[in-house]
Amino acid sequence: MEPDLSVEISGIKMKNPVMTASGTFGPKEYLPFVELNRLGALVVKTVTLKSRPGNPPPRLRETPCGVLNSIGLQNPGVKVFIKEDLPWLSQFDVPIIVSVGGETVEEYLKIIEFLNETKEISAVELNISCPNVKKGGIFFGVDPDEAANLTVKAKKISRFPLWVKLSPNVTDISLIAKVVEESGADAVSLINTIVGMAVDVKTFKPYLGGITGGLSGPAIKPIAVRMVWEVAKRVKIPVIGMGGIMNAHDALEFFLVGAKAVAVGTANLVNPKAVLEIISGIKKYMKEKGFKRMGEIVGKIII
Amino acid sequence: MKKGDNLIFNLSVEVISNQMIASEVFKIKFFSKEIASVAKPGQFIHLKLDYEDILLRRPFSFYRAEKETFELLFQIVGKGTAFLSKLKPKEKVDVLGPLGNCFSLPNNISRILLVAGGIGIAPLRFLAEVAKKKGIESYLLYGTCSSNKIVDLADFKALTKEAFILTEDGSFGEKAMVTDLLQKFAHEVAPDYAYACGPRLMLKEVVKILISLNIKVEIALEEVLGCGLGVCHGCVCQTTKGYQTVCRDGPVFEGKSIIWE
Ligand SMILES: Cc1cc2nc3c(=O)[nH]c(=O)nc-3n(C[C@H](O)[C@H](O)[C@H](O)COP(=O)(O)OP(=O)(O)OC[C@H]3O[C@@H](n4cnc5c(N)ncnc54)[C@H](O)[C@@H]3O)c2cc1C
Ligand SMILES: Cc1cc2nc3c(=O)[nH]c(=O)nc-3n(C[C@H](O)[C@H](O)[C@H](O)COP(=O)(O)O)c2cc1C
Ligand code: FES
Repeated sequence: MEPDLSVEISGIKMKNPVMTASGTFGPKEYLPFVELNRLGALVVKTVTLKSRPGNPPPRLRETPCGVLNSIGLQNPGVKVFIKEDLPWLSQFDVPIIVSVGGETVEEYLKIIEFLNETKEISAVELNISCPNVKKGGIFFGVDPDEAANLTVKAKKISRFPLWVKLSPNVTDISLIAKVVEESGADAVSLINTIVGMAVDVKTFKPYLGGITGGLSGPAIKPIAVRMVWEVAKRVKIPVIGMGGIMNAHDALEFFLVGAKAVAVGTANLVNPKAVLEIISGIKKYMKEKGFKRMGEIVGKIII
Repeated sequence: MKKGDNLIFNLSVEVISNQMIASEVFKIKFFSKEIASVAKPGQFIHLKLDYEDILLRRPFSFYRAEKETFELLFQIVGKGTAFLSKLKPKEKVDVLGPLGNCFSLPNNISRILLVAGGIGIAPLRFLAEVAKKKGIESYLLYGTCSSNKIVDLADFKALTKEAFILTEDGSFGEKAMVTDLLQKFAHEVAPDYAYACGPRLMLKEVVKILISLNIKVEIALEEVLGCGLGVCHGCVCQTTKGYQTVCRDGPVFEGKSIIWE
């Protein structure tokens, strides 16, 4: 019998526990390589209230086993997203999770109000962890009081389940997770990128136009696994794990420490078929080991 | 600028040959009917190099594409290109492409000027070949730092009406930089259109000179790339239309549209 990979997160039924991480997957551009209906869920690039041009280039720098990015939430704004992207996305049989970012609480709430008018989306993910914007973003993710305040208000008005994406740039991520859970979050996703920096010793200049950037990729995976483990022990809401997942084995580590689902980011930039290969890899592993349901591996780390 | 075909392949392709043709400069040939038959001058291919801790793909312009094969010209500058230089015939590489837009080569033109600095010759060779097939005459101004970096001279002479080669150290041809002689060369050639590829500072200067001569110029730009598909917004350059992606809106841009820092 085929193993059952389906999971349910905040009432959303997913065919499998693998989704795309915000900002790293373009549904239209990846269509030649990925049958979207096979994804667990699709988390779109963070949308903001107004369009954002993003940060000055260079925006990427490869570092050992990782990538530093300073994109700065370049996006056309929520209205354009709703008008131009959402109708196209809705033709697919895949839950659409809309990541939202803002500089102020009011901005986050206004975006949610716009999204409330739509029918096509399954959940809202509050991005309170983008390290590449001067105002807002990570500000809400590193202070428990700010995180709580925003989550309470967002939950109150959102028609959709509310996920909160956490920043690893904190002393105790499980504390923030606990606080947003108590404030009404329906799920937490982690981790966003880790703030980093790289300098060109030939020119004495930072490699990135934005000076610092967010580190992603295999380099951050051990940190991400540890953080998911800490958070999963402390909260009851579902935990979505991410950070450096390049293959099915990486994803399985996250399940074992308690992630109910995972998201794949940087791997998409390298291999457009990464998500699909990870889904088949998980299925193959479960078959080989005789597991029938995801519940048999989630949180089953033996310590 | 014409958009390239939307056909993009992600394939594992076989190396046919790989040889050093100048100091630290290699020419590598791959077998792929699919890619070779749709690649256009200016477009590039994104290579996944499974070596040590390399993560992102590495982009290379098409140097040449024929029925079943395509060639790249590359210079060793780091880990990825060093690894690429060691690939042997029959080994396979995961490639993604063709990507990006292409040089425009409008129909009503009869002579074009190609301006190449160093490894920037790569996309221009392919362009010269396609131009020749269309009956368009190319004039090449090609500069390298030294004679040991010059590639495929005989080939260029055959493809172009005139190939003017110079080196910064004077070890071959005139001792000069491309930008020193461009004004004079462009004036003499009086091309309908110009195309340039090379180091950023050179391109900036080339665009300035050609615009002052009222010659339209397209340039192929480089940036560090991520996805190569226009998704991550990691590869932008500043243009008169705002930030544009080098991988999808480019790599070919109208010279006058770039806002240089
Ligand atoms: C559209 C396009 C076409 C190109 N065509 C050619 C070509 O035909 N021949 C050729 O020799 N080179 C070409 N380049 C540059 C080539 O991609 C880089 O030299 C190569 O990626 C360096 O990799 P590395 O691992 O050897 O160097 P490393 O220094 O180890 O690379 C580190 C990082 O910097 C990036 N990088 C380094 N130098 C450059 C550069 N000049 N441009 C963009 N990214 C860079 C790498 O991709 C990588 O992410 C092109 C670049 C672009 C964007
Ligand atoms: C190029 C790039 C763009 C990103 N953009 C966003 C974004 O818009 N919103 C967001 O919440 N996270 C964004 N992220 C973070 C990823 O969603 C993910 O949390 C992080 O990269 C860790 O996962 P990974 O190592 O698999 O990439 C981005 C990451 C990268 C590399
Ligand atoms: S490399 Fe990702 S948008 Fe150009």
